[in-house]
Amino acid sequence: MDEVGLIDAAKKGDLDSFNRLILAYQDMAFNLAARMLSDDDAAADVTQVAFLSAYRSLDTFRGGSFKSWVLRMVSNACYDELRRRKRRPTVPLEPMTEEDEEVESPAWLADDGPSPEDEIERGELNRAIQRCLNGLPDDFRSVVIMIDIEGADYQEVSLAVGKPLGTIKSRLARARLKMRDCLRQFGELLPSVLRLDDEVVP
Amino acid sequence: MRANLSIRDYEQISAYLDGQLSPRDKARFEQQLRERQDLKTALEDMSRTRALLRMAPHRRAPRNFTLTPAMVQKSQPKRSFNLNLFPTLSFGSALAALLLVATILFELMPGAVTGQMSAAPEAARNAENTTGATSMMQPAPMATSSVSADQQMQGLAAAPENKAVEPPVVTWGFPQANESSPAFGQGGGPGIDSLGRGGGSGGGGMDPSGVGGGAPDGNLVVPLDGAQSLPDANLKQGAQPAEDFNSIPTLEGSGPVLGLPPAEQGGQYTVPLPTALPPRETSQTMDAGSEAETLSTTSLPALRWVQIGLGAAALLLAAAAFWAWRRSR
Repeated sequence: MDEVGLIDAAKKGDLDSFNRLILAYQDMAFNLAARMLSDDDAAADVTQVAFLSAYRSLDTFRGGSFKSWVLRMVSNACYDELRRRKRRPTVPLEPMTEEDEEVESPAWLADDGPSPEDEIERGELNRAIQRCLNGLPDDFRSVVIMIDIEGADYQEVSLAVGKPLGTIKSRLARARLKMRDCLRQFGELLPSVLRLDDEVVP
Repeated sequence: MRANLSIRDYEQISAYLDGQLSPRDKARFEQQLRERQDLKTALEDMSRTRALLRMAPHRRAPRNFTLTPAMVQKSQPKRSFNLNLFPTLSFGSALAALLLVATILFELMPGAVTGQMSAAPEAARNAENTTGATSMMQPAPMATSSVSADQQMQGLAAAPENKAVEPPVVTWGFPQANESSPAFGQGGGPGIDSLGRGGGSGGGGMDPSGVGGGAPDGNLVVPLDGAQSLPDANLKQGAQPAEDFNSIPTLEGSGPVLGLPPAEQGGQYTVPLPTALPPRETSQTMDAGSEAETLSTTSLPALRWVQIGLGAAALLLAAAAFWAWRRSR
């Protein structure tokens, strides 16, 4: 695929050329959105909005890595969605007792799904990682997703996030550190080869 | 024992894992790895974490996100409308607010509103502040009895702004003066034209030929009925008949006005110059000012309506801009 040719054609209004670019990057875009939002439906909406926004602002693309540019569009759309969620937080459904007191951790709110141990045992590493990712600050999460999950390099992420390389390195190190501490909760349930030790061997 | 490493150490570890250290930093870090066990363990932990993250399955897009012409057409007008509307509305709101402040400052500025309306009284006050001009504005003692201050001030108030600063000259008994035929002063006010034909009070001119008393500017001449015959008392004391001015020797002096000597030095011509305006004239000036104040007061409601309109426009545009901003997010 001649990416530069497709971009030039898309800039001239050729929607088919831009759709070919979308097909090339839509998995990466959706994966980033799904990891950022932890919600497939919202991720699909955000991905669609991001590609629409990318097409409208295609004139602002001045060359370079188109992958970085798409990552930037998607991550910005994710930030917008996360900010919207914070402005309109969901209200937890807490049952009330006869004395109008909230019942904490009611039985009907218990997770009927498998426990983390079961998940790990069944090889559902994915959910454990997602849980830990959800606990990261947004800026850290986007960097660690792009680099460690999407496989982007530092320069691409720097362009996508709009921050210098030093900031990317720092965010990535802190994000990995937090992920390490989080994944330790799953302890022995992680693959033995990748099991994280809690203590340093003297 | 838990590793006690700084954030800087973890940043080095992370960068080392990704091959982002410079050769020099890499060599130094590897040297530290051989010496510090905690650093080595932390490196292994972070390496495992990194491997776990890379094991995370890639999510495939549940559907194609390709765009259709309908999607592009549907989204573009709305988006561009919002994008273009917000700056326009916010700029309009700011502009209206600035204009509102400007009108308020204009209103608070002393004399800003009444400046044009009270030009004549202002000019009259300027004339009062000039000593020479004040003395020249005074009617000759002879004329004082026949020319009322009311008439003078009415003439001043009616004069255009550029004319008001020139001293009015009151004359009688002679035709209107002009450049070719200067008037002979008989009680005319002192002139200040470039030819030096300034008439002293009582007809004493400063022209070497003794010609004086005429008003070079005929516009300011106030013809008076019955002024042909002057009171005898005034003639005896201060004014000299025009027929006798050729026989009067030329005066030299360094008086404050047009070289006229003070009353005690002149001898032959004593011109009592009032040092202050008569109270009546002052009251006339104040009356004119009051009239201007009244006019400005009547014009204030229009300004107030403008201010109210600007304030309302600023608020409405700000609300609309906020709405557009919220819609565009």
